[in-house]
Amino acid sequence: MSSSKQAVTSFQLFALMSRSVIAVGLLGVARDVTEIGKQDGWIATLLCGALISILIGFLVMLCHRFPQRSLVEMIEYTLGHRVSTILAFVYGAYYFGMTAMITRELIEIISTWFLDKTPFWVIMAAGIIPVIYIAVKGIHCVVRFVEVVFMLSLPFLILILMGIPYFESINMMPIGGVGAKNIILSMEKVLFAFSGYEIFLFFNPYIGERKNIRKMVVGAGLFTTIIYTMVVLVQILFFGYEELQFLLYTVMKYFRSFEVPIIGRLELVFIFFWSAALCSTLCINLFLSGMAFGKGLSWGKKQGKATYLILGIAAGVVSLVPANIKSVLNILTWFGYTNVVVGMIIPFLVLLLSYRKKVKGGEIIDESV
Amino acid sequence: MKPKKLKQMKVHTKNHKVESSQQGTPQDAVIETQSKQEDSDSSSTKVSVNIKQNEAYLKKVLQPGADVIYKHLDLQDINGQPVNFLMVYIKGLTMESHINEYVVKPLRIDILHMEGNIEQVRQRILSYVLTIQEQYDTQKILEAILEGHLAIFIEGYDQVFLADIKYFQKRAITVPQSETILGGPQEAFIEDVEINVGLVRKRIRDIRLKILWKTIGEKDRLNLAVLYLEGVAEEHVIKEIEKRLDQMKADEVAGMQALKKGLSDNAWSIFPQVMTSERPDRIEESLLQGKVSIIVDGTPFVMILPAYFTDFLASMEDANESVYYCSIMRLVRMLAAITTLILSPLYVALLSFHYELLHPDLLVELARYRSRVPFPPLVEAIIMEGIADLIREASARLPKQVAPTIGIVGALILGQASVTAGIVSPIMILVVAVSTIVSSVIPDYSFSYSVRILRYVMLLLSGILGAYGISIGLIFIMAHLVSLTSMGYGYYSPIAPARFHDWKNTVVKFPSRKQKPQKKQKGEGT
Repeated sequence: MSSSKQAVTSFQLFALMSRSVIAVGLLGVARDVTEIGKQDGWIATLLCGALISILIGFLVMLCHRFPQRSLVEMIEYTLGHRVSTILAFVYGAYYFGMTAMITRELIEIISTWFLDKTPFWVIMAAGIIPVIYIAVKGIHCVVRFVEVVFMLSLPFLILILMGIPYFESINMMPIGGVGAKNIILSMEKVLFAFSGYEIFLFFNPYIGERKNIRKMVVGAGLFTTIIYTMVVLVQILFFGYEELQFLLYTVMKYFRSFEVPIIGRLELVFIFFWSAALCSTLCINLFLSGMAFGKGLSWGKKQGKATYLILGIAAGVVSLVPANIKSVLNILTWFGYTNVVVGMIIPFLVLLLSYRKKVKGGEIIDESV
Repeated sequence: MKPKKLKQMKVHTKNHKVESSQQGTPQDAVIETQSKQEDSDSSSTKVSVNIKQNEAYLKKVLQPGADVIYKHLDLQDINGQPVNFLMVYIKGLTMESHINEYVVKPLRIDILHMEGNIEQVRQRILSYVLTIQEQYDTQKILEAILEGHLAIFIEGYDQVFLADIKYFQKRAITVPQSETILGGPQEAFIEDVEINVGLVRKRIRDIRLKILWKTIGEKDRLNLAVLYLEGVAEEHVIKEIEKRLDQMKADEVAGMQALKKGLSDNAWSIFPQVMTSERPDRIEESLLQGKVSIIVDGTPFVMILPAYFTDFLASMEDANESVYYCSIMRLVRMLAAITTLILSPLYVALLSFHYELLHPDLLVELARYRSRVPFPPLVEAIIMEGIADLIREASARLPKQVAPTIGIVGALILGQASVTAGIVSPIMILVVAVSTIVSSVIPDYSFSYSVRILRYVMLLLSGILGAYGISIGLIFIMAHLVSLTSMGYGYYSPIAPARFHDWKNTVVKFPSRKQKPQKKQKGEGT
């Protein structure tokens, strides 16, 4: 297949970004952000999302400076081969860890709400097999699958508004009451929910319509900001911030509160589709993990199906290691901190160095500078 | 008496490709003289100048019988010198009345007035039959006889004339059997490649319509025609099809399915990647969309490539009905495919794992009906789905006069008896009935088979993992669909990769003036 056939369309890029960011974080973001932000948690979410959208707008400059390079290759150009090898392993481990933890989240959710007596490993195996299949099939399959799941999940986002008749506007009053300091402090919690925005730097060489990159990437950032803000605001209005602190998966509880004809429990229908959405996020993470490890080992095009198979199985096994959901949430918090480094600090460092080394078109123009 | 010329026929020789693009103007007499150098094949045997030797050789391979005819014609030329002919043909493949009328009768008259040299005889025979071929190799002569040619041997000459007066009993053009529609054309292809090409030409009177005639295989030769619109169809698709066809051996492509397998990008996929149709109007529509059609001799089903997922849910009814009806029906068909796939598995999942999902009133009713059934929901569903598929298969195989009886017996008597006997619950009968009916909404039968097979896999998954199993099954199917390609194009296109501008002619339907031909966008995935 020619390189033009490996292209990722603008819409696919938008879907990839959105599906990468709106993942497990959505289920509990309202609880996390209202811990400090209280009734103003939604403002913190909005501000954090807007800030991230602006920052990724800057990171797009890397795509233009290195049109044919992925993030690891950009690092190699700017920081050298050794550093890039080390960082490739860091990125590989990060996405591998994310795959394992998201798998565990999937297991926990399915076990809690659907199959309480089924062993974890059975749920894990059933979930990870299609993910490995998709990753093994390659970038086309990953991107298209994510695209389809994104389109299918859009109508379900409207469901989040079904609590409108029960909203209590008093729950969000007084607006700005917690103060600017608390709003800023609570932004840290939302930051973790927004993890995953940096993936476009890995898909960079495959993006076809390059003039639309900034539009799509920033658009996806704003889209996820709107979704997260809406989810947080709706739950504050429905539950109130005090009640949210006692709920683990606030979104599930929200859906469970409604009774619809024929279907007794709406949250189970939500999980049915949510599991597909989580699978798409898992696919992205497993694929990026394989890609990063492959770059680290300088496999180039030799990076084969076995990589994804081994990594997928390993991620499944690792997902069974944490003792309980509390451990998983703690690990995910650490991954949130790591994301600040791998998703923001390193890319910005590469961007600055690329200016210093006068890199254009993926080539260093004058190394002496 | 001036002998009449027979109608022009095309000559198919081994590995010989004739490209015909002229419209309306009949070609002049086609004489294909194959040089002796060309025939210097190591396995070939040269024709002897002795008729008797040739006859003896042929009779060893092709024993004379009721159908294989060896006919001697001993005549005298103007000088009274004997001119002996041997004619060999197969009754049933060659038109005997034409042999008598256009070859034997004129020869008897003409030979009396001419010198018996080969050139004069050749010129004379040529004036009787438009398409004639000279051959020196007995192996090729045998192949031609088996194809329905008349072989004319002349005593004293090592040249043999092969007259193309093939004649097969053909079925009349009838209404489509597997793609019936209420409005629109009611003609279908038959088993003859040339007539089928004619049916397409009748619809597309365009000089851009190109036809590549091809023959596959060494011994069991299969004739086919590749049709496309020049400038509309993608060049690389045509080349890829040609390449794949050239790689096939006719012995391996005895059935349509084997040919489809050879043309599919993923031969092991459960989903069909080659569209087939028996409707000329569908082929016309496909060609205008830039697709390539392959008409195979001996089958009324014409292949269309590349094929997309949405093609299998489209009916030619869509071209003849209002855009509103058509758009709604396309969505209904998609819904039908999903319903066929998940309705029974959902029943199993709800009753085995997630009964709390159901409304209490409905749950009580279900529990009451199921209390007499000794099997778990999975076994109950597999039994009933199996019976439904057996009834459908029986109805399809039986003569039309008997088939409805089987349907009535199956649906009414078996269903009622199963419920009364307490083997299945009435709700299960309802679920299976709905599932069977909606599966008939899928217009393409091979796609419908795929969905029916996958339903059993989904049933097993739902029986083991409940709704999570259904979700995993659907994810797998979706992943497989997006991974498939047809001639390098995304099978799930225009849904993924999303080409929203093409949705108005695939997912829904817009008025034709709002449509544009499907074209790939620059920089987008396949």
